[in-house]
Amino acid sequence: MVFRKYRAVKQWGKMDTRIFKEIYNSRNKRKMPAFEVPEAVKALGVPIFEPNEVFTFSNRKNLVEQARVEAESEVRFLEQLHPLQKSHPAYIFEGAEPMSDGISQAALLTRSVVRHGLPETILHNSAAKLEIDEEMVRDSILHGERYNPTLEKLPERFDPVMFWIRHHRLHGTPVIKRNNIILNNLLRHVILGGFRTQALEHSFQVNRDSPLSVYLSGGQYFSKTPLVLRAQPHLTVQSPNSTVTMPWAGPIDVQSASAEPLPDIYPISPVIDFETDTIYNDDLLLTRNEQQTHVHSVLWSREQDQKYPWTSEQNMANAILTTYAAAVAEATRNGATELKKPILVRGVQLVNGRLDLVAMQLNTLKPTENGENAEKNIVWIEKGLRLYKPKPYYDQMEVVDKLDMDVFHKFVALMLGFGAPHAH
Amino acid sequence: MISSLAVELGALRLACSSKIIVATRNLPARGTKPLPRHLWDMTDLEEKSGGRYTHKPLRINRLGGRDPETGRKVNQHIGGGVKFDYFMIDFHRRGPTAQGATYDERVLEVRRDANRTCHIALCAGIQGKRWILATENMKAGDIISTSGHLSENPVIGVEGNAYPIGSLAAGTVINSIERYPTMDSETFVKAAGTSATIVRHQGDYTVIKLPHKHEFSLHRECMATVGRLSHADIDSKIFGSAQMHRRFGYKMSSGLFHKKDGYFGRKVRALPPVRQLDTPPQAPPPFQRFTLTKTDLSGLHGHAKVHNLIPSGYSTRDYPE
Repeated sequence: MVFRKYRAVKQWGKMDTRIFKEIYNSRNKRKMPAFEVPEAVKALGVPIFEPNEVFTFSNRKNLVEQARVEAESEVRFLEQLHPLQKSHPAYIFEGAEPMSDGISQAALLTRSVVRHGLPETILHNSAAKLEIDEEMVRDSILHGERYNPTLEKLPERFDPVMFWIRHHRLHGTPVIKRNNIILNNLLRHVILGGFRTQALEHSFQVNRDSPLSVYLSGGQYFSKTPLVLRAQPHLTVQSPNSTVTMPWAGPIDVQSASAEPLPDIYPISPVIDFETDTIYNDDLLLTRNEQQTHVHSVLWSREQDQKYPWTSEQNMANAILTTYAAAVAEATRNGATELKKPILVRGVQLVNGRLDLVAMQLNTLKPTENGENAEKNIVWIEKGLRLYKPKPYYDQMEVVDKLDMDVFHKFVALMLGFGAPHAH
Repeated sequence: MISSLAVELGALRLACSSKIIVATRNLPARGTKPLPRHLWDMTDLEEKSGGRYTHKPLRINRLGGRDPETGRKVNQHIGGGVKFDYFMIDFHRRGPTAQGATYDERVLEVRRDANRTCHIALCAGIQGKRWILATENMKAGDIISTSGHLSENPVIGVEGNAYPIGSLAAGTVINSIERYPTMDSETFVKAAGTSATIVRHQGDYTVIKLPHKHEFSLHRECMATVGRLSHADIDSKIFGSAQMHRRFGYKMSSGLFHKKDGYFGRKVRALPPVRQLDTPPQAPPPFQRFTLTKTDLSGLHGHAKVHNLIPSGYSTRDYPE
């Protein structure tokens, strides 16, 4: 056998196992000293039990029972309701689910009579004829669509025809942000133009992205389960001047509108599109709630789902309900429970280059039919007015296509159309 | 002699009892049954929908022809493809059982569904929204109703409405038929353009004829929707390419070509007799798992019991301390 400098590691064989087991067994054979309770433990005075003792023999059973009761009470503490949790669930409207029956359903829920188109007096209001150049409107749209330098990760693109293609993820300005910038710019034009023509006396107080939550109960649909209307409009426009909430329709018009029947949407129940959830707070949530201001309008934008876009009816229903929430918030701010005089709140929704204009005149706070309550609200709507033709989110807009200034003028008329105080 | 002995011993008692032992010959298989497709993971669906019905589009896992329990490939012709949104279909339309009372719904939308052949319809009623299988002429805006009343006189069904099969007139064309009058039973007739026909009523049962001409006798209370299922022209539509086939999750067949033998081809046989579906099949009891100890495995019980260490190889040899 040749000399080997390094011996190969020998494999563990059966003799090794035998040796190991002998060592192991001999170790196991060694007697351990009997356990004695240490002096320190004795000094504590803790009850000590034999581990092999029969379970039921001593008072140990009581101790176990006690521990079980304690554990159960802990579980009960964990399972108990949150101290602010309301005992009943509520319908939640958050603008996430489209209304099945569109405008009719929204009208039924808000107990309002729908007037398609803004009133003539508002449309041809001379104070609302602002001298705003078309180029300014184009620029305000391009501000959102082109000039904004945001580079956020945009959503995955869905191509309904070539559904198997995985498109590159693009970075740019999200659609909601683009639309919000456009709404901001349009509002600024309205405010500055209003000052120029003296249609506005006071400046507007604008809050951005502030939450809005309204709790409604009672009536035909919400007596058992209340309704919570939630929204987060990008712009909540308020004014210290109360003329901004002056109603457009006088008492005679309101009376005639109240005689009109509400739409019948049988067999659909108007509440099927609401989510049911527990609530923890039924207080009104409105920005500048404590201040002496009045809600002039709420403006917000939506992004259409790529796979399941909403119809123009569903968009308008969403606009009506959100504006209704703002109107109710205005009517019940500072703890008011009754509506002393009718108020009017405007809503503007920008979806895919289309404006949904809403003017909600709140004549009654009672949400639904309640026996003797015959009063109804009035809502003027302009559905899906195309302000411009947008590009899909993955394309860069170079020039504003098909800008419609009539739509912009309607928007201005809505924002600067105030009810005449002497008419009421 | 032997048989008489056997009778005395009771060995042939089996033949005397009411149970008749039928000899079975292993005849050649009468065609192969289609393999389970295992397209969607239903446990994942249960998880994502929270065990409740939802009309919202879901993104559920695809099984790709694999067994949900073992994860093994069962159907090699299924696999891959684009994941489409899954719509839960309500196959069990139950309505009020009082005479004249109906549960009405409005069809909001009829759309195609990549996960099944026939079109689906979104219906909205008092209780909420749900997807059902669309019948041939169903369109948005239609009012469809559901009645659970078992009428004495046969009813001429209206297309899209759901009735118990016991109250429909013979000859009515129906689809989405419950096998048993329970809310969790499977349903017959779900493929595009297919329909079953009501043949006759027999006591508490109604005989229906399925698209493959087999007749089934079902409980009268089983619900069914009147009409033929939509998208009947699916057969005339083509995928266009093998690649498009794969995008939908269907794989090509593969393997060496075998020449067809005499067992292939259609055998002209008489239709089977009417099959009666009486009680829903019970799920087999779940498998139990036991672990036996060494003592159990040794088989040394009772008188044969030895000391525990002996089966383990204990010997009386002394070991060094």
